[in-house]
Amino acid sequence: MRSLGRGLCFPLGVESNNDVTVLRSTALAVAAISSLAQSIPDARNQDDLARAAKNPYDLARFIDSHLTLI
Amino acid sequence: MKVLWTALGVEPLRFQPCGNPGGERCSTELLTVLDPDQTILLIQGTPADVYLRFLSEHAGAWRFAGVHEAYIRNHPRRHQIDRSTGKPLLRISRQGVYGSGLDSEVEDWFDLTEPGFKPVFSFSVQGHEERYGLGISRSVAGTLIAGKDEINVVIDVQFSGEGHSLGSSEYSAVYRRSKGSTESSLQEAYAGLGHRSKIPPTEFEDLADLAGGPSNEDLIRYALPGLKELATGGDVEAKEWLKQFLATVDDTPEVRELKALLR
Repeated sequence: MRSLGRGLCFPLGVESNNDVTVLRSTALAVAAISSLAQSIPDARNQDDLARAAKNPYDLARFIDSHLTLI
Repeated sequence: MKVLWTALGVEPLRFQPCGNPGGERCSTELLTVLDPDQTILLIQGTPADVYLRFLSEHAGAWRFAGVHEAYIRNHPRRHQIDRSTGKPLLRISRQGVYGSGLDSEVEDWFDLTEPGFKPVFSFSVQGHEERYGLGISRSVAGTLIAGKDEINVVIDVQFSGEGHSLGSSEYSAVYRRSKGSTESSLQEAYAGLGHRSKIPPTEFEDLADLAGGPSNEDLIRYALPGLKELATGGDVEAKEWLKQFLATVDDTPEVRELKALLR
C-alpha cells in the first residue's frame, strides 16, 4: 500500500496522479469505516446476543443477521 | 466483544473471528450429530474458525459443552464427522507451525461421546521442514485411520538436500488411550507398513514433528540410500553440496561411509 497521508492508502501499482482513482479510493475508505461502525453492536444487540447464546440455532441466526464483532 | 464469551462462560478467544476490518464476513454452519444428540455451531471467520458444542438436554434445552478455535492460514478449512468406529468423532484441521521453510496442517480429533470438548488426539497430517543447504529437509504426509480402540497412523516422509531428492520412506504407528486418560498417546512405531520392524516411538515422533524434527545425523541414517546414490552419481554440484554438508555434522558410521564414497 502506498500512503496518501491522513491514513488513506493506495494498493501497490495504482497510479496516484489520477483524480478518478483518488475519488474511488476515498469512497472505499469511507465504506470501510462505515462497515466498521456497523460492526459495533449497540446495548440492545448485546442483550440479544447473550440471550441467543443459550441455543445454537438462535446464535447462528444472530451471527448470520448481524455484522458483529465476536 | 466479550458479550458472547461471557454469556457462554469461557475466556475470550485468541482470535476475533467476526467483524474484523478487512476480514471476510462471518458465516455459520450447524453440524447435527445424533447419539448422543448434539449440535455444533461452526462460525467460519477470519483468521480463525470457531466451533461451539451444545448438548441437547430435556425439553428442548441446550447445555454448552465447550469451544474450539481453529486458526486458518496456509491450508483450506476442513472438518468431518467420522463414524467409522461406531461412535462419532469430529475431525477438524487447523494451521500448525509456519514460518520460513516451515509449514504444517494439524488435525484435532474430538470424541463426541465425551461430555467436554477437548481434543483427544492431534497429529500433523501434512507439512514440510526446509533446512536449506544446512541439513536434510523433509516433507511429511500422514494418513489417520480410526480403529475400535486405537488410531493407526501412516506417514510418508520424503527427504531432500539442497533441492536434490533423496527418496522417501514410510513409517507407521499405533496410538491408544491409556487407562484413565481421554487422550490417545503413541504406543508402538514401525519402519514400513507391515508392523514388523519396530522403531523407538521417539524416532517416529521426531520424524512427524515439523517444529523440531530429527538431528541431521539421524536424518542421514534415514535418507542413506538416497545420499549414497548422490555420492556415487554424476551430479557434481550435488556431490559438492554433500561434501560441504558432511563436514558440518558429527562423525557417525553413515557419515564415514558417505565420505568414503565421495573420495
